[in-house]
Order: sequence, then C-alpha cells, then structure tokens
Amino acid sequence: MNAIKTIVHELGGLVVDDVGFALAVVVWIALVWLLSDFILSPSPWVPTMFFVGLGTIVLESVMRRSRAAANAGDAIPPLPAPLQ
Amino acid sequence: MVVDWLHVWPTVLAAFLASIVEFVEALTVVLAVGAVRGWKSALSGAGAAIAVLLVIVGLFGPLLTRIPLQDVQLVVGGLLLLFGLRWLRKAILRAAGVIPLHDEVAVYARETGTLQSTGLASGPWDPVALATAFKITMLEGLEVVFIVIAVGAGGMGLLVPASIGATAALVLVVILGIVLHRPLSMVPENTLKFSVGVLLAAFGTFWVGEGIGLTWPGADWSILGLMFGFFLVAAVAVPLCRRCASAHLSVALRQASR
Repeated sequence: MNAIKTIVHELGGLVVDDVGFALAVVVWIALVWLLSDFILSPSPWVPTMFFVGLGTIVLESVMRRSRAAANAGDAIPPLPAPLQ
Repeated sequence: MVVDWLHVWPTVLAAFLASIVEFVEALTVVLAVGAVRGWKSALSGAGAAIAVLLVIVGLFGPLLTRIPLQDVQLVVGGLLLLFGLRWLRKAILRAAGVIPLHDEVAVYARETGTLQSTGLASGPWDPVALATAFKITMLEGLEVVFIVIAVGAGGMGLLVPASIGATAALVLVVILGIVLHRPLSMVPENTLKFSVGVLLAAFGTFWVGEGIGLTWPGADWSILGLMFGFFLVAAVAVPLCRRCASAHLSVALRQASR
C-alpha cells in the first residue's frame, strides 16, 4: 500500500511541484481555448499571446519563490556560472 | 521530410537528455546498494524494475495510437507542458541560487550510510538491497516512461525515436557506471534540466496549441521559435531571481540586526 502511495505521489509530482503554478498554467490554457473558440478570430497573435502568458506565469512563479526563499532566509549565495 | 526531421530530432534529443538525468539519479542509488549490500541483489532489483517498466511501455504505448491525435496532443501536451515548465522553473531557481543544486555525491553518501545502518541479510538474497534498487529504478524509470510516451505521442511514429533517445541514455549511463564505478557527479544536471525544460515546454506549448485549435505561424517551425522564447524567458528570469532573492535577503538581514 505504501509503495502504491509513493508511486501515485511520484506520478503526481511529475507534473505538479507548486500547485498555484500548475493551476495558473491550466487556467491559462482553458482561458485561451475559450477565447480562441468564441471571441478571438484566428490570427498569429493568439498563439503568441498564449506563449507570452505562459512565459509570464513562469516569471511570476520563480520571482515569488525567490522572494519567499529570501524572506525565509534560506537563499544560498548566487553561483558564478550562468546556468550551473 | 523537413517536417519529419523537425519533429524527430528534438524528440530524440528531449528523450535522451531527460532520460539521462533520471538514469543518473537511479545509478547513484543502485551503485550505493551494490557497494554496501552486494551486486547480485542490487542488479536483480534494478533489472526487475526495468522489466516491469518495459511491460508498461508495451501496454500503454500502442494504446495511444488508437486515440485521435488532436485529443492526445491536448492531454499529453498539457501534461508535457506542466512537466517541462516544472523542470524549467526548478532549473531557473537552482541557477539563481534560490534552491540548492542536486548533488549526486551527497546522495550517494547518504544512501550508503542508510544502507550500512541496516543489518545484512543471512540468505542469498538481500531484501533491503532488492527493494531499494527496485524502488529507485521504478520511480526514476516511471519518469522516463512518462517522458517517452509524452514526447512520442505528439505525432505518428514519434514513439520509436523517443524510445531510441531513452535507450541511448540508458546505455550511456550503464557504460559510464560500469567504467567509473562511482556516482556521475560530473554530469551537469542543472544545465541538462534547463535544456530539457526548454525543449519540453516548447513541445508542450505547441501541442496544446494544436489541441485547442490554434494556428501556429510558420506551422511546425514555430517549435523552434518557442524553444528560443522559453530560453529567453529563462535567461531573463535567472538574474531577476538572483537580484530579487539577494535584495529581500539583505532587507531581512537588516531588519533582523535592528
């Protein structure tokens, strides 16, 4: 039973790390779907808007997490290499 | 042919890079189990998990081809988007120093310590070693299966290139594990997660877009544009997070010192 629980937890954890972040992505997908189906006419701006929204959600989420880490005092010193 | 290659090479690359990260994590624990409790039980546990995973791929892979492509693209694309953005988010936070990097040497030391503290088995098979090797291979392998099925579900015949990418990663990690006999701490895990996050987020966005009926400018070529776009978002986010974290930290420290 414990093994099944762990597997289910791990599988859920594959796609959901931060519930608020995952929820924002899902809501954005639903919103663009509704807008593109009922309100907006097909144009290259709709997919662009879809991407920009996702990028904004990522930015907001990492900034929020950074602020929270700093407020909790657990931010570690920045690393010298840009991606490491 | 251009369209085919445009789908095939990123599929192989995404599956290869994502799988290598998962296999390296599994290898660290299997190495610790083998070194402390013996190789017979460690390799048997890992082998049994791989067999179970192959059955899962054999069952669910062909089932996906029976579902209409647009539905698969929407559901799997959505999961892939969440998965890719989750990796990208974590890689940004690690690159900015907000959360610590994954350290294979530390994981190896911790696992070795835990396994040494448990009494050794008297029989030919060590249940602790078997269970530990099985569990880690199963957990990391499930992520690989998810990645293979997700990146392979975006179009006809993409499951094979995705499987090739994952198999190549497995072979490479096993060879390196046999040759080096220690955790692969030199693998730049965060850079890999960063790249895979960008790739998977781009694929996921494209497929979800197709699934909800959006018309992408430049059709399949927009996947490249999306990759560039997500890379740009991440490149902007890392310094912003660093600045944000250090600004808030210095304010908090000033307040604490008063």
